[in-house]
Amino acid sequence: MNKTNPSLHSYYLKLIVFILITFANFWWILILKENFLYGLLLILITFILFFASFNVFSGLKLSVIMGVLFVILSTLLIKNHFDYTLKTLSPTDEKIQTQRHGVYADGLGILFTNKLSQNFYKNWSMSLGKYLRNISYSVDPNLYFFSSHPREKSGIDEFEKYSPFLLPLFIIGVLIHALSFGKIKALTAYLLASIIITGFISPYFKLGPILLFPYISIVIALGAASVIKKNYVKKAL
Amino acid sequence: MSKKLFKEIVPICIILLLSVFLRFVSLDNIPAGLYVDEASLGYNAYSLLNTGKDEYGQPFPIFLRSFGDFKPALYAYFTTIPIALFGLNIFSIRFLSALSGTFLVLITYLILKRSKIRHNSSLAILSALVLSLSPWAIFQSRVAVEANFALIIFATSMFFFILSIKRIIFFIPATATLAFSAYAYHAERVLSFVFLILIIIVFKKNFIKNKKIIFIGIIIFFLISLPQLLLLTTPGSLQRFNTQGFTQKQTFEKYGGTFKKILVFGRSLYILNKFSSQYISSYSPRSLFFEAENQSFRSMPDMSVFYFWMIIPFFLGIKYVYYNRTDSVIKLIFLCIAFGSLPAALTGDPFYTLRMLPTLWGISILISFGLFNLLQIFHLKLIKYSLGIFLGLISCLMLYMSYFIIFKSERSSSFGYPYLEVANLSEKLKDQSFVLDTEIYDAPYILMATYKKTEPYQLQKQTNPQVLRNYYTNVDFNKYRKIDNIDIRNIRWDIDQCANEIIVTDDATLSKDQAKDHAFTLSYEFKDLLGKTILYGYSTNPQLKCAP
Repeated sequence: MNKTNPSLHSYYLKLIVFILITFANFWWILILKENFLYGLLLILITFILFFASFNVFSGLKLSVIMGVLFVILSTLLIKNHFDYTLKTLSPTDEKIQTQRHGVYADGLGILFTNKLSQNFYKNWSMSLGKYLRNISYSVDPNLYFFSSHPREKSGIDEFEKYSPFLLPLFIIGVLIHALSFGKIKALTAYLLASIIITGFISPYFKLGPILLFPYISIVIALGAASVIKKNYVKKAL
Repeated sequence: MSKKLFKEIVPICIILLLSVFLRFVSLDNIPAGLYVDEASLGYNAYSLLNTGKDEYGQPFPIFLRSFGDFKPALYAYFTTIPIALFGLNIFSIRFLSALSGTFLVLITYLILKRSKIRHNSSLAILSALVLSLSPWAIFQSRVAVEANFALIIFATSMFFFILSIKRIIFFIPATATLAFSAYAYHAERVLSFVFLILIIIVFKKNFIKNKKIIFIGIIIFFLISLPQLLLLTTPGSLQRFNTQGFTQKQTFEKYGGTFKKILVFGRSLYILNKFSSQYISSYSPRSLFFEAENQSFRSMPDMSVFYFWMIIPFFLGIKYVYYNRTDSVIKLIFLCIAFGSLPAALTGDPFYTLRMLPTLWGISILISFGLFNLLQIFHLKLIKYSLGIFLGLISCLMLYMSYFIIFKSERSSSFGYPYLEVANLSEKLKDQSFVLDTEIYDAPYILMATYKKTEPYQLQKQTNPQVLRNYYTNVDFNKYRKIDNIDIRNIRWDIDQCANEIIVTDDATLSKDQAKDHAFTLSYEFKDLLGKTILYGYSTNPQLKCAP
């Protein structure tokens, strides 16, 4: 165990809280009900990530197993729920693209009309914008804690994935993680990888950005443990 | 001295020049036109300057009745100066906001310079640079908004609070400016009280030895706040809270959803849920770095309040703030970040940046801390400076493309640009009567009055005496006015088709078939900067339609 896990007592506390949060939430139950394989893979990843994050059973083998499971789940998600709007332009997109083409050409001149910029503008800029939009949905805490929130995506029934009462614990957990990015490397790496993949998944996938389920569960547990054991934040640092 | 000159004074002067450039260049053209709220502030300033009364004829109001939304009047009072200097025009109306945005960069530098953290000079310069380039800061400085003016008063107050930690006498100007900020924008009416309490609690160790000065400061705060406090219970003063909030019983009855099924604490839980959701929305990376604000006249196309790459220094900055949490400046910045969005969280609009400017200001500083940390990773100066310059250039390019190119043309109709053309035409055809349809836009009368520089007495004499008698208690708003040769009202088909006039409306209100039925001739088209026709000017033909 490293400095982030100063005692066995602290570790068991986190483990108990983590198990409670992981199994007793609406999201995982719904995922399991809708697609058993996704639910199973997610729970395995969540547990391995938890152990890897707090160096309980650390090692290359564990990282490889988690990596393989993550790749399997990501492949399934991309195969079944890929956001095809990333590759195609809707009539509205085309209208905006054509309209802005003239405006950019007037304003930027050769900076815009050169071949490289034209290629980027015609083939990549819209896709990049949509990809960033997909990522932005997945990093919005409101999506996970509120069924009805100020920036709901239109046309999607956004459901409450975790109880809103867990939100303060999530915030504390995120802050602890932000303070120790370098120390909880596995968690940081997982967060980045899951966000990158989620950008390719349709925002209309009804189960939501499920790749982030392990991260959110662990972070809530981290926040809960620090609240129960008040001095945890100081010790963690 | 020469080393300090090179390392600090020259960079901050360059940053200030950059800020002036980004905030003042083409200020009268971008945004193209005026938003109704801007026009209202500008015209009321013009009216106050010339008559000492607002557009309704109320002498020296604390709140401007305007469209029944009762705007705090301080912006209008201060705008009398640029209007006196440059006349009533778009530049004068936006001047104060642009100046506030520039001074904010300087105040930020001065505040950070007072911190005791390591590399405070470099951090102060970097914070000023990040703020000078931040999309939210540029956007809000280039429109006439009370919130931006309130922010500079609020930030000045924070500067005095920092000075007061060493020299307690500065506590008095600190509380005075804090109280003053409440006259500039609604959000500061809440924040001024919250911050007075918070600062006294957080810095109680520094203040405890000087109870007398603290007491005088608090008394001055309440004395300055008194005129506003006396109006606190009037419908006018509470109008914004009543229309934008979600704590009212009626709102719960309408939108309570499943909370209505909870018998005892249903409404309390609904308010808590809504507040939490709104509050967290202010800090969501989605709102801060990726997605633009919903209202088109409040945001740039495809650009959020910060550049998307800033998400990395944002998280890195948290660590920096935590490790330096005992520093007074850091404490103050933390308070701004954590509590600056309370007014936004108390209202129902999703991510309304105007109501959370102190938070955005704090986050800009947080980002500069993170950026400093990020650049420190690289030991080679060449890499460090190359990365810094690359990020700066990328940001400038994104800003130029989004704001100075796309925003200017795509949002010109949101800023009432076609109405400017209507005003110009009505000036050209002085003997021609116009009817400007009010079905299509909230309050076009104020745009016309501003563009045409209408004599304030003309509007004041149209005020119902009942309204003047109950200025702060009667919140009804009448949008029908007559400005010179323009009658601003709904179309009255029976009368208008028999009068010789030009009816200005859109195609949703008056279709081509309807125009044909009434023998109207399409004479003018008023376009936005994209070339899209927004308003149509139809000439009536009474001799055809109403011949005896």
